[in-house]
Amino acid sequence: MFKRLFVVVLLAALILPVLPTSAQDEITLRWRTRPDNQAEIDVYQAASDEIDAAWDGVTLQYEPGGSETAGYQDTLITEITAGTAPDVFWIPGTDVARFAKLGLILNLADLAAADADFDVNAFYPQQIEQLTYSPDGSTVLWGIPRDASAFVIFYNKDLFDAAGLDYPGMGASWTWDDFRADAEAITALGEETKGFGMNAWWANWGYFVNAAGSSFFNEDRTACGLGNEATVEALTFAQALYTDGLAVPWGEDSEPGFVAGNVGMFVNGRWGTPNLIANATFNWDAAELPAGPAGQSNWLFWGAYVVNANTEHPQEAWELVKKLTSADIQGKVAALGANIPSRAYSDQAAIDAFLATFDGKVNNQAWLNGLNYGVAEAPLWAGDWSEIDRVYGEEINKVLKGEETPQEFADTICDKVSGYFEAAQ
Amino acid sequence: MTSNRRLIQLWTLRGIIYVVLVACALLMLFPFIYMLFTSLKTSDDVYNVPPRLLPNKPLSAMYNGAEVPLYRATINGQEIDVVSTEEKVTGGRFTTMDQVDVDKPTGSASLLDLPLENNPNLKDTGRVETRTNSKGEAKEFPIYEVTYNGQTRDLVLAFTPKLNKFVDPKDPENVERQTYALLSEFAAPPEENPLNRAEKVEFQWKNYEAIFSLRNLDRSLLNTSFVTIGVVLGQIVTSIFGGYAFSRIPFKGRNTLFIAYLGSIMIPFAVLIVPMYRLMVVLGWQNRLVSLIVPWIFTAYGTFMMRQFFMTIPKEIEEAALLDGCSRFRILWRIFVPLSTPAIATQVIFTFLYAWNSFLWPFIIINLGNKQDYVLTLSLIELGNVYRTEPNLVMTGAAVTILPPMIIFILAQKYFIEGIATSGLKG
Amino acid sequence: MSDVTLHPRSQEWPASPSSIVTAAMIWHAVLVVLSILVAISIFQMDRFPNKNDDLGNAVQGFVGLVALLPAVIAVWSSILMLRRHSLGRMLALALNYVMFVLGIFYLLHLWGLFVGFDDIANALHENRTWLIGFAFAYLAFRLAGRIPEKSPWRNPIEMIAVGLSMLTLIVLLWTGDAVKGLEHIFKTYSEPRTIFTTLAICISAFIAYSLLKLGRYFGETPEQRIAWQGWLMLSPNILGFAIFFAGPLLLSFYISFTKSVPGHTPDFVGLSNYRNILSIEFKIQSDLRDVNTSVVLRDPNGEELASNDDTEGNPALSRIEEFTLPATGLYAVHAQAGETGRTTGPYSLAIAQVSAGAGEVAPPEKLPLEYGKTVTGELKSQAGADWQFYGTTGDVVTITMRGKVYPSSVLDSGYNELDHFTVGSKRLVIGARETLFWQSLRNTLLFCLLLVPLSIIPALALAILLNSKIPGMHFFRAVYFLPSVAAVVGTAMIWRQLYDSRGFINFGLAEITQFINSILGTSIADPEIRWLTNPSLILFSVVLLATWQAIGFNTVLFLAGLQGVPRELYEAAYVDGANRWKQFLNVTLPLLAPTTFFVIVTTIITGLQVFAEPYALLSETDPIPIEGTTSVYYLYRKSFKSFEFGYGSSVAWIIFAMIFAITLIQFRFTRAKAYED
Repeated sequence: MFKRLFVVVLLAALILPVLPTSAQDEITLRWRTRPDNQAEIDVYQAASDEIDAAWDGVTLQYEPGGSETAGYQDTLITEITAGTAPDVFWIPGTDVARFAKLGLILNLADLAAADADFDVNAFYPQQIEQLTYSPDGSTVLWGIPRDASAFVIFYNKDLFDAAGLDYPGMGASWTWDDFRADAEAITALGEETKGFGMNAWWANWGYFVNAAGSSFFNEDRTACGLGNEATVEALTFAQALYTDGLAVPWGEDSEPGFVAGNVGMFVNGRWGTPNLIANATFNWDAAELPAGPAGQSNWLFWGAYVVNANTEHPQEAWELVKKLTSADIQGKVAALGANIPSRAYSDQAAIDAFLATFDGKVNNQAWLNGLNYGVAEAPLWAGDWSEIDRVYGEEINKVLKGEETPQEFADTICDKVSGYFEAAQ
Repeated sequence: MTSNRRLIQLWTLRGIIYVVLVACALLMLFPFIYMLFTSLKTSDDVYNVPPRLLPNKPLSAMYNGAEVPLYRATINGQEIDVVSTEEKVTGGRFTTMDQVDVDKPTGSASLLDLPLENNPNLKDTGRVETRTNSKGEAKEFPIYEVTYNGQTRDLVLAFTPKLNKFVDPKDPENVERQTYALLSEFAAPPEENPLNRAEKVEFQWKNYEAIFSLRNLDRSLLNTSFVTIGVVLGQIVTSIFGGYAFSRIPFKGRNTLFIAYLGSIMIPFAVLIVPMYRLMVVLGWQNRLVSLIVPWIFTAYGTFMMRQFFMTIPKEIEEAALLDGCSRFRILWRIFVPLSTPAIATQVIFTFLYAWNSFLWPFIIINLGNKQDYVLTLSLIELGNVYRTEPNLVMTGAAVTILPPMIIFILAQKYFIEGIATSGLKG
Repeated sequence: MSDVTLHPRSQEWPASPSSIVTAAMIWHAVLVVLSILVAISIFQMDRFPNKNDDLGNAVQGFVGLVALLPAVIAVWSSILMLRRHSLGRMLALALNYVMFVLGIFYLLHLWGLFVGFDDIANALHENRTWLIGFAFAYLAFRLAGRIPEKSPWRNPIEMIAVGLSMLTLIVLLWTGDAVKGLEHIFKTYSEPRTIFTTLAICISAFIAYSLLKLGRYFGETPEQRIAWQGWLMLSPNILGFAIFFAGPLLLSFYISFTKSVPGHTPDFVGLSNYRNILSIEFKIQSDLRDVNTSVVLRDPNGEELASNDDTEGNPALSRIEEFTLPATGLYAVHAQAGETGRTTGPYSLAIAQVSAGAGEVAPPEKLPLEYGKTVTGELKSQAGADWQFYGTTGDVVTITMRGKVYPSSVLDSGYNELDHFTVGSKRLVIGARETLFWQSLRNTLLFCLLLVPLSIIPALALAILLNSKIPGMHFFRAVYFLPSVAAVVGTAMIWRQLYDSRGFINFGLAEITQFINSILGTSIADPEIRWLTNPSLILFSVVLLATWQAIGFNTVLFLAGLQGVPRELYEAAYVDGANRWKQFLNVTLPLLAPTTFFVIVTTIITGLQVFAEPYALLSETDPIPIEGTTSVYYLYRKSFKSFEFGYGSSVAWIIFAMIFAITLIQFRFTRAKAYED
């Protein structure tokens, strides 16, 4: 009886309202960017509404993507395949080459040239260099950088106090040896305490490689550049942090541990600050990464707003990209503490606004310093970065877990990835 | 006599069976128990070492106009709840020489922590203990005359941490109610006068409120239910018809068709993702709930199961009915369906689980921004990534995802499992 | 079988057979014209309207041909019907039936019902408080079910339950603006295509039903009647599968032969995808030979103390004999195989302590080389390797280095080493173009290999325990089933926490170790397992999660099977003097064979397609670790991370072929067994 009833109910429910949507006269532009948390989604939504309200004839539709692990790029790619991707979207800097080579994003060079009030030099030159690169030497502009970021070492002041150590970066230059000594002293403090932690992706171990004077690629980015003694030196140092038990085991997420308070130092980008502000119950601050044998090093992380090659409204899409990267919107996004305006390179107002975030309680200057000598996260035009990253990652796992020596790594790594680089043209 | 012995034997056997069953049950349930308790914790509490089940909430007090954590200290033999001040002093970790870790002084087990300067209980003897570490370097440790608990001893200074000043928030100026200690909970506490977080057991029910308001989970819940009901009903209908035809109607080409049909089970779903996505685009169904329902009501799996079950129903019943002039549909509806309630119930569970738990397809077909059409698995994976530093909230989300099917299952298990168990496959 | 009873009203059908056939002819003529028009418009299309929909001429042609199919069948069936051939009637039946069903599908589409699901969910969400009415109705209904059938209260309460749910429904329909929904449906009739579709549905339905009644006219045999009954019952499945399964499947098959990237027309490349994936080669390195080796011993200050570079006597052996250490400290040994170029091969290095000196300080721990222990491994390069050991003044040591070397890679270009085996002095090297494919395949097979026994044997045992008629069994049954009710994404989130290096599993293991140590006085170290980061454990961790979820599910299936074993059989066996074990072997197992077959097949099939478990458990790193990479994850990566849809599709087809083969073998095997019995 009840079963039958349920079927009736459901069938009836099927003829519930089917309302036609009201027709729209305005152009609708869909755009998307990858936020890291709800607060960012809210800010982007507000920014979208604000631009929308001030823009006649165009309706904006903001779609938050997921976080990195929730498959932002995967969904994007699937949608591009099916022709349902938004008009304007953000992609990480490393993906620009892949999208551009496949013809998925629009070359904005003509639109930018025709636009008097757009100045490409307002952004960090490391970024613009990548965005105007084309393998055949033609004039291109693939997008405009949404923001910039760099690594810092977040450190737990309470643990540094408990070990009686000076805070990192205070006073004289802070070297790898100092860094290791601090990690040792903090690790010894308690059974569950670790001196150091970083997450298992390329930029983390890449910092050590860069700071020792080596590099992922050769000069013109057409081949692997890791087969040298500097790599061995970098990885020997990094490996010892792990094999000596000073670090949260490689591959484990170090962020929860640091937020909980039992990791002394944690490498992360600007995006890590809001979570710390919200959830860390201990005293902490940020410092520049320690200086390696080849001096100070850092990454310049970035992503760009690009235009879907199949958009029906290229002119409006370009306008939207410009509006989204205006000093005003960048400032609003940066006020959350997860980003650094990409205009901070040249715009003093942007710099001052950035330094004032968190009421100056956090050492914001550490990031700006890092950006100045940061190596840009760069698209790889002459190879398949995702495959190379995978092979690099697999081998690094072995090194940092102590299964392979840095020497073995340096000797063999370039052979292993050579197949993923295209022959130079 | 014999019956007595048999009874004892029986109950011993039953006792053993029960012990095994209970142990297994606990193993099976533990992850859920963990999930439930963790979903009621504060995020700090999740990271407590060693892990514990019951949610503890740290106590706090108002001090200088802000809410700050409370610590429990023993000062002059008296337990006092204190709070930390901003004030820091250079302190010393004092201990006996055998407790000193020469290689890593900060790892030395401490007897007590004291402020170094202006401390009447401390007297520098001027003597030092010298030890060689593993690198062959000589390390010196100064010896102090320390007065504590009414006695005076010679102790070595292992190293000099910075100590925070802790005061009683109700009586901050009272020197008798002040102490100096390490602020970090993760540095090993000294043996004497350790400072502990003041805590009490408290369930954070507000996590559940938070989760619904935060992640639009109530809508996901409704969508998931809607999709699941649709898929279950559709699958039952198609598989009863299909199962009957495959098991009972011997027409030409049936077996070939059946093999092809069975083969479709073996097609990995991933083969279909790209073409299916395109089909959905052509139909205008992408990013719509219908894409989660209609394509999935045709199931080889369910048809196969129903067929297997119908095969066990004696042919005689049907042949008699056919001779009596019953139509196929009548036979199916009047004889096969009532006889196979257990099989249908089982199929309902399978389909229910399949639809409720499906992840890859919604993940591909529903845009990440389209929260209106999210299902629970999508919300949860997003939750797990966005809130990964707050496992308590992730567990709350997991509970919201997992509990409804569990409750429905517990309520209806009579129909599900009992159905199979009692009238089961006897035919 | 009697026609009369099956079609009691066939004589009463008003129209004469010939007029129905004529009507069908006319309708078929219309269909022919329509389908030709549709086909032509598809053929004439330059390319598909959306650039991204463009799948190449092959797909366009195929769709056009499919559109022609109704025309062909209409003509064919008409000709046959004129001859009163029964096949003509069957074809016409099928054609009109399919037209009818597809027409309804299209009509619902035009009504906006499918995309309207979102609005329905929306309305339900907005009025969700009313849904509680259904809960109350359900409770009332449950209550009624508990009342004895003869009680006068039973019916009224059931009525209340039904009334309550009806009332809720009306309220929901009202608040959800069902009237507007109906209005919208009527509005769609302002478009001619809606009217035409409705008309076509009616005509097809009429023709199909009329033809169905003409069994006698066309001389229908009983076999034919059974056949159309069978096809009719299967029709929902067949049509659904044609649209949502077979079509996409064909497309996928086609894509697997193309080099397909988004935004471009796929290029047909034949079998090259398959060739690349499956390419594997076996090479034997037979010339394992001794190489020149050398060892150097350095004192704590880095000064060279002794070296041996024996190239004359035995090239594979270099030895520093009975060397007395001059001081206390860390000594360094450098060992090297003297082949030029990149070499690989096994080596061993040993320090044999002859006599110990009078060292006072115990050697520090964790030095890679200890007295008396041999280090073996593989020398990967000419650069050699360094070790350290701690020695005290007066220690006498002997250092030995042995080395054997293979020439550098024997694999063809494009191939990477997958694995190698050493047999005697020969070495078998396996190379593949797509090493990740083979690794993922290995992981997937290993996953199944572990999952099948781990989830089936305990399930069978539990089912047998639960099958004994003692109180409380219902409870346990429910408990064991619970994990399989939960979404994999949800349970993976839980297990991620449990697997944490400081999580409950490690805590439990530490406690157990401590307990054992305190009882037995042993000193077993706390294992401190890194479940999700230790490469050799990752797959096992995934299997453990899957096992936990599968056991209850399998238990219920086995229980169902066990309940089907008649008790009389056990009684008979008991009378025959069979003990419990014998009963299990001779009665339970054989009768459970179909269930076991079913359980194993489904476990393997789902196991070979595993995706969600490793993904949800390991998605913190992107891509997930190679040890957790399963075949389906691999093809997902290929398709959606590297854009290589053609490649991904061919991987999918390879996986499919294997799954099919495995199942077919099992199917044959069990069927053969069933016949034997």
